[in-house]
Amino acid sequence: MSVEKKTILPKSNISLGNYLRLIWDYRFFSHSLAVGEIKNKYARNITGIFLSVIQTLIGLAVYWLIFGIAIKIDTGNIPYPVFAMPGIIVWQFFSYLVGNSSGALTNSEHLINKLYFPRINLTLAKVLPGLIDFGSGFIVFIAIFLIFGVSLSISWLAIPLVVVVLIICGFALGLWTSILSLYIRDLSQIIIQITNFLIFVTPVFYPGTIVPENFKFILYLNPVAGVIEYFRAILFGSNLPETGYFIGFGIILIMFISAIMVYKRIEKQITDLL
Amino acid sequence: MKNEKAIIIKGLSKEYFKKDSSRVGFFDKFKQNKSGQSFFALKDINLEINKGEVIGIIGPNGAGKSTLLKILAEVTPPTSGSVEIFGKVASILEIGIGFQPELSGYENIFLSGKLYGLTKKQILAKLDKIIEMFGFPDFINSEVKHYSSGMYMRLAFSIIINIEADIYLFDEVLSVGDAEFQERAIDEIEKLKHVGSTIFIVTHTPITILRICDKILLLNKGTQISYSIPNKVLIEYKKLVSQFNTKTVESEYDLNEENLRFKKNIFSNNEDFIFDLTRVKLYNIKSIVKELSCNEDITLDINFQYKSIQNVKLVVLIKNKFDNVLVSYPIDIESSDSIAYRKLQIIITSNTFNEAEYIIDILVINVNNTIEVGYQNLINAEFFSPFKEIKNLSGYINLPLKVDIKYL
Repeated sequence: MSVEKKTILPKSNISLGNYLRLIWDYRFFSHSLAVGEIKNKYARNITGIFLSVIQTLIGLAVYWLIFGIAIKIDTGNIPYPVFAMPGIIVWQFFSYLVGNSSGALTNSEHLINKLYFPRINLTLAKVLPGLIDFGSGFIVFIAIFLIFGVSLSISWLAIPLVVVVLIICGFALGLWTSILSLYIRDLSQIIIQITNFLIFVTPVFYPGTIVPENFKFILYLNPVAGVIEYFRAILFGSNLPETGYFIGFGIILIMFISAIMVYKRIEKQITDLL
Repeated sequence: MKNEKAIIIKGLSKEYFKKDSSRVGFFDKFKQNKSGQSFFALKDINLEINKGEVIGIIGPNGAGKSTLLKILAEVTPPTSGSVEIFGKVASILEIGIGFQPELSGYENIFLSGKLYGLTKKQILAKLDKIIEMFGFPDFINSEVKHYSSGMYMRLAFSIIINIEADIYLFDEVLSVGDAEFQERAIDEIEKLKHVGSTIFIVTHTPITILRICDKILLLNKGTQISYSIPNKVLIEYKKLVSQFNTKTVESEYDLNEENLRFKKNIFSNNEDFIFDLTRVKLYNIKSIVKELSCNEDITLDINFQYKSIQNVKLVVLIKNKFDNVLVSYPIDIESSDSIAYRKLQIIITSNTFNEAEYIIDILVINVNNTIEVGYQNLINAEFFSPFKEIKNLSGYINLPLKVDIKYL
């Protein structure tokens, strides 16, 4: 029987391929952390899952009152609640991932100190709870969709593609916030302020088309804007948005790859950085 | 097979930079501030460990024991040097780490097993054995957060024992839990030893693990002081520790008049009777170290002053820590009209007692066999033996029995 041999050196010399395989091998760990978090969030009280749905609906009602009824934003032939809902659930997914990832490493200090595993899996574990929220929000959306009698479109087949992009975007942003949280202790407070501001430069409760051409570049640079715009286009079977949004997707791809590279590099030092 | 290596550590060092947390600026951490104050948690450690050896790691606080284990467990990287490990490692830096409180015991077996590198198939094969060892099959489907601490540890241990790693790293596992758990833990580690696993144990209380260790590594301030068989290392450890707390050990086994006054209890109101201990000292004559070895003669000096119109008896009681009297030495003291001073010396010959904790009481009783004065729990003494004893079975006292075997 051959004995497995391992060498521990000051700098890890793991290749990117092996690193990705390692993350994949430890997916069960992320999974169990995620299940624990979901149980903690929902199973403890029966109201858990309803509470998140009610939260979404209250948000929707407020936007409807302000932007749909008071300001009367032009959403074409789509009723305002149906229009706003996809933006809200996408935004919730991102703010959940970014907000929770800032604590992914720092709140698991005892695990990091006592156990070996790819640290990136702690952040990965935040994706599933976020998706559960997204899923329950989407079910509510379908209900609203049916109530307002908007017709279903063949383009819905492309929804999985949007979800994949959504996950990559959310994960990439989450990874970077978790990396920054190692260096900036009060990051979660800063993040709350930033997300409160960013929601206004993202087409969550207004269509991207009403933004003047001169300022469109702000939306193009914002990957969340792209996700929401394409998600809406697919849901409502309308014309696809401008290709300018791909700038944002490009940025997110760079962020995603660079975040994994950074993790691979600082992986072992994380214990000492905490 | 005999000299196959399990771990080779070469020139291993770990340097930490002192952080002044009061003024860590926003971006200070980004700069690799090498100019700041640094210290070595480990400095140039070189070790070769053979397969199947049990290594105890001891040393005072801040010696680098846990840091060494953390490097072996790949939790933190070394600053320089290298470690080569042959075989599968299971690091138990904390009992039950990695358990998810929200998941059931059953789910946690799989989670834990996978963290130790087993496949689902391998875990399934061992599942029955794990649950049997756990001993609470009815609770296997309830969430771990509802477990008692004892159940929690038993589950953790039954998983650890069944993962069949080649190398086990235990950090301070023996310092958690109650005495019963510690006994169990040592038993379990001993079982691992019997199946030929290589084991590292970090401990603050070397006595507990002595009997299972083949070799002991003594660290102090990050440097390797010695690495050898337990007896040798333990003597060095005692020297090292006694440098730190000579005073406390001295006052513990060497009581002056003032200490003794606090411990005195008067049981009768006989005004003609005066008795005061003035000094009590318990020591090994030959030993240089401050701890008491039961393999050498132990001397008990008792200085006292008294005045009594009757003859009295001074009784020295030696009890175990559960307050059971093991032996008593009554000593006759003749009456004295004026205050008299005496010094008693009792020598407990070597190997009378075995390694354990003992409590010494001194009582004075009158002719009617009632207690006049008592000094209860006068000395709480721990006797050490560097020799391996038959655990749990050695008892407190060695009786001078004669054993005769006839060949029939």
